[in-house]
Amino acid sequence: MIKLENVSKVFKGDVVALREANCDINKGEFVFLVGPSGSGKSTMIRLLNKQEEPSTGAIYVAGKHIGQLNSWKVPYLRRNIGCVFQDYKLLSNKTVYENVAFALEVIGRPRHVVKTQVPAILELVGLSKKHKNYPDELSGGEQQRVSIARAFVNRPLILLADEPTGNLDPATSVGIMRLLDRINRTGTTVVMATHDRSIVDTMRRRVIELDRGSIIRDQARGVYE
Amino acid sequence: MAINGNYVLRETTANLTRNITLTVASVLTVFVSLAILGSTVLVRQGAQNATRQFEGGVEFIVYVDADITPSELAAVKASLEDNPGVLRAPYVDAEATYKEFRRLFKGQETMLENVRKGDLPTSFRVEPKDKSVESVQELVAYYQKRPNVYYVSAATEVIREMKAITTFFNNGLSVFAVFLLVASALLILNTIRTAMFARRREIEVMKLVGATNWFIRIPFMLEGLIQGLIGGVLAVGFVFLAKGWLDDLLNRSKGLNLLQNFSIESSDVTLACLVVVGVAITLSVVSSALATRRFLDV
Repeated sequence: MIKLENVSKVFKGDVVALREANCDINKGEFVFLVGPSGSGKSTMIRLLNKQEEPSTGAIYVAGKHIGQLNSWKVPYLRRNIGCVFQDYKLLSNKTVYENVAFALEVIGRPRHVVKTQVPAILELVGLSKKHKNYPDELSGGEQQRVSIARAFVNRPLILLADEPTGNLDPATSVGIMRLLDRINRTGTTVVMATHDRSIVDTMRRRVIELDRGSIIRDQARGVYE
Repeated sequence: MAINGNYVLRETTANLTRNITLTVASVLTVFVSLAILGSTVLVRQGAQNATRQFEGGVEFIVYVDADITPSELAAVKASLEDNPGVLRAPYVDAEATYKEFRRLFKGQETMLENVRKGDLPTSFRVEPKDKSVESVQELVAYYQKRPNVYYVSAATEVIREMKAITTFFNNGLSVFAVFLLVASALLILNTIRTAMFARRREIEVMKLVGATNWFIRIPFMLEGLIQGLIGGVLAVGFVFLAKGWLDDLLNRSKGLNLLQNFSIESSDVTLACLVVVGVAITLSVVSSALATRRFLDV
């Protein structure tokens, strides 16, 4: 599903964010990216949906060499990749329902699809009753659920999550992890960057550890360290 | 890809009203610049109508007798072509003469009804090598006395002056209009940039969930186009007003030699309107395309 071949990313001023990274992630896997701040976790996530270009190396997503993708095809790649962020990136002038519906509208899904998909996904994340609320009327955990609903409403093949529990307390984080686990069980590949030791240790999934841009550990059913 | 009309309409309206002061500023600038441009076209066309016979360096016209025989005509033609002082002297035949007559006397029904095609003298439009007043007068005097020549009509000082004045006037206005057009293009560009900046979070989300660039761009481009079109439509209104004023002015100054043949026809108004609307569309589409290009990479 995802394959990195000798991928390096060097930013301006010779800042090496990723160094000769190699890995192979299969369909349906749940992978944690761990490591200290600045170790290259976010860069790796951003490379996967082509928000960044690798300096060298090749990245394959769903069998496609995304470095060779025409720029007009990038939106279609991203429709297969859901994204969840630490800061949720919800639109504050839209309700919960509208935030999720927006993701379908802007890729041209017909209205009847929006009308059936959005309530279904809100049900899944447990926010049916709050569909008319605005993001600032919700708790952090609820906002992250909306953001996950938006990322998953289009049933992507891959879900990328960049520290989704970074702003949440441990109890709320557990709820979010249950949700991501449930999404993973539907066959969606999940790649999640995190600092959260207890989550990684409880879930016991594949762990890829990065340090100063290099992959130093890749372990099935791993722990944080 | 299917683009939801509802969505586009909603977003475009939101963009237009969100920054109402900027929108009004761009619409007004487009209007003023296009109104000037439209008036320039009108004046230019009017001056061209007045001096059309003397276009392209033609300094005098040799009319031949209506009952001239082909051999006599050939003799006149030869005398013009062999004259070293003459650069060109194309012949205007009966057909073309009648057409021109119909145009010049448009609206004057009695004239149009009573004149038939063969009634009008045909002519040579002469462009001399040396266009100084003295040499032209010399040539005119010479051909006036040639056999089978009915009449020689020279471009008078009045026409020369009129050409000079309208050219000056038009060049000045055109320069002015170009500056204003650049200003309005920049204003549209800026308005759209501002609208896009105000909505950068939405744009970011749209890109992340896989909206195509065109989908993101269209409401903004439409916003620019609408600004341009409103300005253009206002300017078209102004062109009609200007036509009314000019007609008024011409009626009151019929005695004035300078404006004798100056006339603005409805086809000229149409042309001015087409130019105005065409420029409005091009201007707004180009500047909004430029404005939406940034912000969209990634």
